[in-house]
Amino acid sequence: MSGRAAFRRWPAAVLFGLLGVLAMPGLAQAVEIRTANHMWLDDTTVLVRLDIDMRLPAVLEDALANGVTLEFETQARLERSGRMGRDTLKTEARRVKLQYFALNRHYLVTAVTDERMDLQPTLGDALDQVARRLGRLRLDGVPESARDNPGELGLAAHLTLVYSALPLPLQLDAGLRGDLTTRQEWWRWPLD
Amino acid sequence: MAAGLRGFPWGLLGIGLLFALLLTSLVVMGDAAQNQARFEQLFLWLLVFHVAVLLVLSGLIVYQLVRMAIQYRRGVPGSRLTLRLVAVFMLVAVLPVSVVYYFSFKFLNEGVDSWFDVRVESALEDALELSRSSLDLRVRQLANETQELMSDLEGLSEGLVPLALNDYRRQVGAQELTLVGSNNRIIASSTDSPIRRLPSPPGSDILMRVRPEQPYSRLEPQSDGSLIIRVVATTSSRRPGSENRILQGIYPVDPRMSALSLRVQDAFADYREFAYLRGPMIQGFVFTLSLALAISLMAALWAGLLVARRMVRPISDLVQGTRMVAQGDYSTRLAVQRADELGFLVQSFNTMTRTLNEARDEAERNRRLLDAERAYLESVLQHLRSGVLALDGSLRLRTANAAASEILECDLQGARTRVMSELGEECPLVAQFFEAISDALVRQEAEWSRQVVVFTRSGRKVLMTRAVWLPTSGSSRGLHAIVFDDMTEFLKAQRDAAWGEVARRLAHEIKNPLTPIQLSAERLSRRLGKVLEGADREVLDRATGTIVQQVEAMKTLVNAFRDYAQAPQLERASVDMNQLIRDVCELYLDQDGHSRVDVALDASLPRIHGDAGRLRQLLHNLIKNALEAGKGHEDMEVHVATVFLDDPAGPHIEMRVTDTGPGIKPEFLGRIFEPYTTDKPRGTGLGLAVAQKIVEEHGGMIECHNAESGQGGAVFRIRIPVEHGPVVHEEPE
Repeated sequence: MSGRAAFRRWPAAVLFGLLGVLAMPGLAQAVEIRTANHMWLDDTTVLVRLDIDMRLPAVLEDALANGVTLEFETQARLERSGRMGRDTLKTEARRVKLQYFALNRHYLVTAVTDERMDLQPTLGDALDQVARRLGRLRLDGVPESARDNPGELGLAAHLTLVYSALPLPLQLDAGLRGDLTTRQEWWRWPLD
Repeated sequence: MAAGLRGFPWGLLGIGLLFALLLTSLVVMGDAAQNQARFEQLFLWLLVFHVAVLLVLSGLIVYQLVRMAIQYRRGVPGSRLTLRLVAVFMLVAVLPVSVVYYFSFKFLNEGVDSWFDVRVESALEDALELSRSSLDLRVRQLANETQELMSDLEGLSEGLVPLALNDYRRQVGAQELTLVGSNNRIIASSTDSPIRRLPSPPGSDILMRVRPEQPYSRLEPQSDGSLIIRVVATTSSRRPGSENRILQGIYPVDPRMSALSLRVQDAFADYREFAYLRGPMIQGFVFTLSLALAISLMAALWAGLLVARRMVRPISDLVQGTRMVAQGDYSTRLAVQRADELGFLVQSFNTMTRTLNEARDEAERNRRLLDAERAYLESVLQHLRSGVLALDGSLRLRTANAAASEILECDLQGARTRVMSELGEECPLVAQFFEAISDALVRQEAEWSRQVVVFTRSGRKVLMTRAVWLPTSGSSRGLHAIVFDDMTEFLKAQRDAAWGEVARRLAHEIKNPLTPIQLSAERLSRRLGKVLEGADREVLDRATGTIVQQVEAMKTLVNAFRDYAQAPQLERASVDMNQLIRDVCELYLDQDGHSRVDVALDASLPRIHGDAGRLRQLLHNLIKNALEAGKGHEDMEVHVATVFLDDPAGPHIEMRVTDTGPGIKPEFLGRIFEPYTTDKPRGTGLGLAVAQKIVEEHGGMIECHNAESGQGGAVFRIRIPVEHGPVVHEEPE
């Protein structure tokens, strides 16, 4: 993430903090994690698999069709429960952009992390592609003891629409209306 | 230093800074509104800043309002005016802000809508469609060429395929040609830059869309911002047992074409996005405008509060100062902090209080001086033996000294502002005195003097009275200054001294030679009586007898003078006047043995404390005077009457001696009691003078007038107070 982007992001957080007073945000119900699980790839690597429901609400579909680029992000955390709350041991994020490519009337799915691009002829295909891109997160450096002591560590994941990537008027409109605001609760399950 | 910091106008500095920041933010916001990218970049910061300012202003205003409400409740001077000014400021601020808000809102709605033109959108769509058409044409062309290549490659063995692919790739200008077999196995591949790119088989989604003789082709963007055309083709006929082959060709798009197409697409996307965000953008503008106007309104309100407080502060100080002055604190000085009209007002207030203070000091000095002079005058008046009265034009008592109270036997000093006539009802002497001088007072004579005789419990008082009318300049009002002296004792002493001198001279000049004359006359009679005979002897006896008789008469006269001048000390005792009158009248019997004096005595007459001998002489003198005045009148009658009176002047007895004689000649009435006042040829002229002296010695008074019946006759009225000793009614001894 560039410095400029970070510069632009935290005022947005402040703004949404303020706007939170105006409207109680509600999760866009159609963009959510349905289930989550994990798979050990080796002794210290865990692959987090997320089953994501990527049915966009009408306002986002409308925005997408009108040239607005949507960005989604998933985060996976390796956590340890302690007396003072949860300690995050590892974090992995994946961000994907979805936009309409008007020149060939396809939807372009771009992984922000590795800049991989996929063109999909329909929105459904594009959303499936987005779900696939977002639904695989690899956590490296997991302590080996975690495998021997199931339940000692936990995994958490959540999906969010990156609001700071939305055009500003839409951010404000979304903040005021609450339609686009997510309250992405973390999906948690034990690491065993 | 600290005082300097305290005196610094921090409030104004705060207002200035706030307005500068607001102005800057509005300028930046206005600039950002013209530039979408800049707007997005700054909007959040400006929004956060404005919200923060709004919160700060709200806090300040609430603080000021609470403070103002407390001051209003406590009745702090100026709080009401501050409240009114703030209300006016609010009104003045709200009205223009509302107008600006209304027109800005209208302008925003209409102005933003005007940015979107149907023709522009149509042109952009046409341009995009043109790009699409151009690219589609190229895509179809390449798809056909790739399909033909696939057909050419179909019969070639795997060993020849790489060479053929290389040749074909060069012929068609592809970046990459890859032949894929079953299971997505790469049979052969040719690329223009083996270092740059490894061959990649087509994805499953593409393979699903490939049909024989129906190549799948599409335009694909690259991460470097360029475009490529991907074509996937397969053989149209498959021989049994032969492997299914797929040829994928990746063709570059002309960079210029690519750039133009992407630019058109971006412009179109931006326009669509912009148009799509029109509603939210207007809402954002309205929100921003509302925020800015709310801040402006709050700032105006806050500034109004500060300005109102600042404006009202001198007025509050003035009100406070006025209260202090009203409470008598003329030392109040207000700090002059402004150079405007209010400052001038404060300066004038200070000048006024200074002048008032000086005037009060001067008045205080004058008052003290006046008090000192008044005290001095009071002291002088109190120590004066003369009575002093000051009456105003309506004859109200203004000033009286102790001597006046003593002489008039009334507490005049405690009766200031009372009308003299009312005061007379309580004080008989005041009533007599005021009655005697009221005519002169009413006439407001400029200056006058007269002798006033009043009768008191202790007797008669002669008051020598002088008065001056002191009119107030420029007014009809004025003051009577009355000075009176009790001359009773003085006149008595003067008279006594005069008659003492007369007696001394008579004794010296007349009485001394009388005895030798009498002795000589008796010697002549004795010696010549033996020698002379007959008529000579008769003449001698008659002459010497006359001499001796006249000498006796002169001795009697001289003794009378002596008695008058050298009054003996009274030998007072309880005297029954009725009995005394009866005893004296017994001496005046006519030839028939009847008393020549008729008496009418009051049986309730109390005893008085007096000298019985002197009172007897008084009666003798009066009765004798009456009888002598009536000689030649056959029906001459003398009446003596007594009566007891207890009037406001005190208890006293009144004795009237009247006769039916010719009365007193008018020319004698004024000086009837003076010595040598007589119309009788043989009278000494001392009888009535002695009578008056006896009455005065008893503290009484005697007056004389002719009878009012018109039938002649004199009336002597004697009043003697019953003062010495208790008033008792005793039976005559």
